[in-house]
Amino acid sequence: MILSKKLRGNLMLTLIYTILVITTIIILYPVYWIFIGSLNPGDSLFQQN
Amino acid sequence: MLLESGDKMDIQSSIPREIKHRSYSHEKVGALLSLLLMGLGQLYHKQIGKGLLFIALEIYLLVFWTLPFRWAMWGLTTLGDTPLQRTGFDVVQGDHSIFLMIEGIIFLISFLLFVWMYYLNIRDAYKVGKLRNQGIEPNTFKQTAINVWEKGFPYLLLTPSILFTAFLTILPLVFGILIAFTNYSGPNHLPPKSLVDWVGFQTFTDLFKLSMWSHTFYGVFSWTVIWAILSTVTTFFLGLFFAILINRKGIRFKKFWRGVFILPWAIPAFVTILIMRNLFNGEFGPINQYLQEIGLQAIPWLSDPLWAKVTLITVNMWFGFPFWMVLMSGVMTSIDKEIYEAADVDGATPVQKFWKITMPLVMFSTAPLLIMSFAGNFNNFNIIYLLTQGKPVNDAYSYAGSTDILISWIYKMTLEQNQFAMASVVSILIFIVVATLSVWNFRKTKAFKEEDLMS
Repeated sequence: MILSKKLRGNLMLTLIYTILVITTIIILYPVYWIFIGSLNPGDSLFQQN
Repeated sequence: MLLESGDKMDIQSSIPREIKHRSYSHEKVGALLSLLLMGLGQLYHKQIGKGLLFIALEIYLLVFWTLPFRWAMWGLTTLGDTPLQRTGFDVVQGDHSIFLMIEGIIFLISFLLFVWMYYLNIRDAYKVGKLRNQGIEPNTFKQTAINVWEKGFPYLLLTPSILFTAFLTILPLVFGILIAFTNYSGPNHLPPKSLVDWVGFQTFTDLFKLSMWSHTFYGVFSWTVIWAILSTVTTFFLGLFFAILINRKGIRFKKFWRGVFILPWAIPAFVTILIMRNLFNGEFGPINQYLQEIGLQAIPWLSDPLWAKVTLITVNMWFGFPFWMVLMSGVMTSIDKEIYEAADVDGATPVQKFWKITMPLVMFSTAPLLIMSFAGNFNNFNIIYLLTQGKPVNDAYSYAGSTDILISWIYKMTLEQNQFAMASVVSILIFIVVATLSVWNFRKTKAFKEEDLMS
């Protein structure tokens, strides 16, 4: 099945935005930890089982 | 030419006949006298003040510094001959080899500075002699002082920095190199308890021939090279990838994406690495907890040799790619759009445009940085030591773990194991690799050749 040019463009954009969002989460997660850690100095951020 | 020859004639006619007859030897006599004793040549040229100053300097050095110099040279060549002795409960301090070595180097550098001054004194006598040959009267002391103040002012200002460079940069460098030629290492050759001896290239031979050292060296060196290549290449291409994605036509909120992706670069790497060490903790790190919650097995991120290396590369990618992304974005926005339009007219595909236009232009601008980044990663102590501390333990290695690179191995050898001589040998080898790369980089790059681009 041959995809139309517009559909291909939209699929490409979706893929790009997915990559960008996932990367944003990966980048922000440790940053979030740093901020949370600074709000609770001395507290452990681990949930030790 | 006519004017020049006319000038010469004027000058020659103004030189008294007497001076012309005995002028041929002034520079040689002056230089020879200054060679015999500092300042004698200047006295011969009737520069009394300057000559006396030079003579006073040499006499001062000969009288007060000859014995300390001989003592320092004795210390440097022998590294002491009296070890610490114990008689009952009494301890008699002996020679401290390392202090003797440092003292020797200081005197050696001072001596080289003195030799340089001696050379300047001979050259000065020679030049003044030449001027006398031409019938020009030598400067008086006052004129010399004014001349030094006016023409030599930059050199006067540079003198403290030359001295600082000599004693704060060259001294530690020479000391570090000389250590490699001694047996300065624990437990048997650690001053002040015992003496250190010169052993020539023995430590170099041990590094390559003794299996306990050579096995560790080859293992750590190969991982260092792999680490340097992978950490550079991955961050470079990830940065390029995101720069292309964000700069692509039709992508919205470009500033937002750039702002978010630059965050890892904005946070101090020290903090980030420590946080990452917690995140990747095999037992109670959140990443393994998430994996287990979705039914997957926990991964030994930092405790398995291979996984620890993968983690290092991944974490390095995390805070290494923003630099390249910003750099590539800058380079790509400066590429002329007409080149792409011309390529469109010729029917080029996006892939062809990337490899034939974007990539060569980006590489042209970033290749020197790429090589410097490789050299930097070769010595990237921070991430290795803060994230894994060189662990997991490798039984086959001496004083090194599975993820240690050469620089972290040196740290362990010096600060934890007192293997100073071997650490010095390894640091010389690192210097050779990094210096070769840097020299090659500076010779290859066009950034320093095409100065016209900046004008």
